[in-house]
Amino acid sequence: MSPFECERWATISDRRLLDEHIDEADERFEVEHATVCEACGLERARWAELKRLPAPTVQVPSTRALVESLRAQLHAPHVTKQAKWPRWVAAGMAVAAAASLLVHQTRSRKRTEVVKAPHAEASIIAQASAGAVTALAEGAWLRATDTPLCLYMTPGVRACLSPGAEATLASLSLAARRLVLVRGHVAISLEPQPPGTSFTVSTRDGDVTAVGTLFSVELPKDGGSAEARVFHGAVRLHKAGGTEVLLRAHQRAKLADTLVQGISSEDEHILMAQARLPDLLGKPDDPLVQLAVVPQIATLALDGAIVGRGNAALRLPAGSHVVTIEAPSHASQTHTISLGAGETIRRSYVLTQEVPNLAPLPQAPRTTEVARMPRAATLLNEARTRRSRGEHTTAASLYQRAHAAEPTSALGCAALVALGELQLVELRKPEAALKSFDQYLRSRDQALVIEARLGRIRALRQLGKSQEERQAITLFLQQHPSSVGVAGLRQRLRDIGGP
Amino acid sequence: MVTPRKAPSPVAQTPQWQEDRLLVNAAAAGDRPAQERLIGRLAQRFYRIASSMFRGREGVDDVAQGSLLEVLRSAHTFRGESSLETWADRVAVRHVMHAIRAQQEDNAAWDAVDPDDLPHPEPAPLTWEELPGGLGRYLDALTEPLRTTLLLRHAFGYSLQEIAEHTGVPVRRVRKRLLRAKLLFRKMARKDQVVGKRIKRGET
Repeated sequence: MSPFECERWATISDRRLLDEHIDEADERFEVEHATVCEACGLERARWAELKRLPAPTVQVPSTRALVESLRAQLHAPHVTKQAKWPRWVAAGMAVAAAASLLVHQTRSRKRTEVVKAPHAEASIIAQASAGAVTALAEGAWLRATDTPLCLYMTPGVRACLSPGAEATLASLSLAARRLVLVRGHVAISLEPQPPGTSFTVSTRDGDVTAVGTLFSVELPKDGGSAEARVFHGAVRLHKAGGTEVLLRAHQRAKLADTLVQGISSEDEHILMAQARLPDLLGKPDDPLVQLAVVPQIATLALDGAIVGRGNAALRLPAGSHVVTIEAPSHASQTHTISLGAGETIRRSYVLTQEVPNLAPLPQAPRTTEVARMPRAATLLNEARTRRSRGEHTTAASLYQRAHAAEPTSALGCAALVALGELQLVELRKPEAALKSFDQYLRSRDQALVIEARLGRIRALRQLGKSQEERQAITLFLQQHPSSVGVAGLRQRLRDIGGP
Repeated sequence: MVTPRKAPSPVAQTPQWQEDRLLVNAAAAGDRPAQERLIGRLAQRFYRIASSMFRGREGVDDVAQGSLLEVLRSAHTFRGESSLETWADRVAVRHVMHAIRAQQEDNAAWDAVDPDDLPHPEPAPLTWEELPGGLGRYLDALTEPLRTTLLLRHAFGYSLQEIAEHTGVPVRRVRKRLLRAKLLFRKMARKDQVVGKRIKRGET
């Protein structure tokens, strides 16, 4: 083969790459030459291979695991930047934040003479998945959807928003760091603070300023007064109107009336479980642990404290930590993670199913029927969205419709548990919640049986039915002896006169 | 005034297109089975795209998953003007390019330095068992601007103008990069052929 012919072939190939005109004779030559010249033929084969791209350099996860992970990310809590909110909401929030800052600055001036205080830095230290944005600016809006969202403020303040909670980082001034709680529950943990600094959680009903170490503030969904609870140390309550009260450890008070009450030991046990997470977390420069779990409904516990459901990315102090993952009908797993300084560790845990789910699976849809997919999925999705917006009555109705649409499918049954939770926590209707949990437990679906039984116990407790609660706890401990949180249930059982 | 109706593209007239539209619409609405089918169809390809374009960097897995997430997020924008795979490729490429830019600490490679001035380390000679050499080895030997330009043009069919927009360089530089990348690729492929033949003949 003449080298000139190979050169001509290469030139034509290059011109093709650059979209240049190739006449008929050249086109014919290009094809014919590649069939008779081994070198050019092989090169052509290589180019064709490149079109298909080389094999992946990492292992491609299973479709199921990928979808679990992607769906979790789709619904993950996010640090809301301007573009994430509709304009009218953003505008409203900006006005509210500005007003809050104005009020706060006026109050600060009355209390202290600090004019130009140095600023704290704030970063995300725990969320559903590690995002690119971790540093937070003053005015940042935070929203936790299905998993707690935790942040760290220098020096030594950790705040964890519970699922559904919303807040804004109103001030990072060290003299008056301020988190404005808009919705839901926030747990705060403080290391000893330097003199001249303060940290306050503001609500519509008043402010809670930290003096001690571990406390929480909750805005009830029914529009009632915000409540502060102190577990260690003390906080100062400033009722919106002027009254100031000191709240000490094991005390709670509504901000509207600042009437101080004690926290009973049984309540403290449950409330502490909600408030303990920030105490376990590290600082922004501590090792990062990214945990992915399948199934996404799996409960993740860290050093004995429940983190939440599904994936999580957490900053933890270096050392050893115990991670427990469990999900209904799956074999639980416990792992010890050793973290060195500056490390980033990623772990994926796939729980194996213990008992095959005998409930009939919905038949795989034909392609042409994809647009008419099970309505329960769509309704559940909508219900979750409405719930996160605080539209609880609408969400409850959507859960009921999801169940009615597919009363025997796994999704339709799962809607009952979600409905029970909503009725119990948001709508404060324990009787209705009890019915929803019982209805689920009568169904053939077993995937959420632990959640349903726990919900039932809480509903019975709210209804004051101690005897039935005792029976329910005893049954739960027999059926799920290694479940996360059994220690609390045993304590509760002793408190209400059980064995 | 009556606006003449745009004729549907050839792709839009196929039964496959109808199926793809339904599938993507259902995935956009959050339907899990549809999302599973869509991801199952695209995952391998997306991991290949991320592995090829994000070569030599950490986080291929994250970038591939990020691209898949982008597909789910922007599924509602699928109009069916091209095939599902072509549309998805474009979503993935856009995401990977964004990730590359975000990770680039030094933008000199894109903006200031002529690719001819950048070193092009030749890959180490292969042993007989390794021949023919993997394409990944050739891509590793190209600098990032050359590799990206070549892939955008050859593997994804972007026009020179589109590549110029994506990479932020003038079209003439895109042409220069393409020719340079193709020459290096050709040299490597032909060298492997010659070395392979020699090894086969027992000359080395």
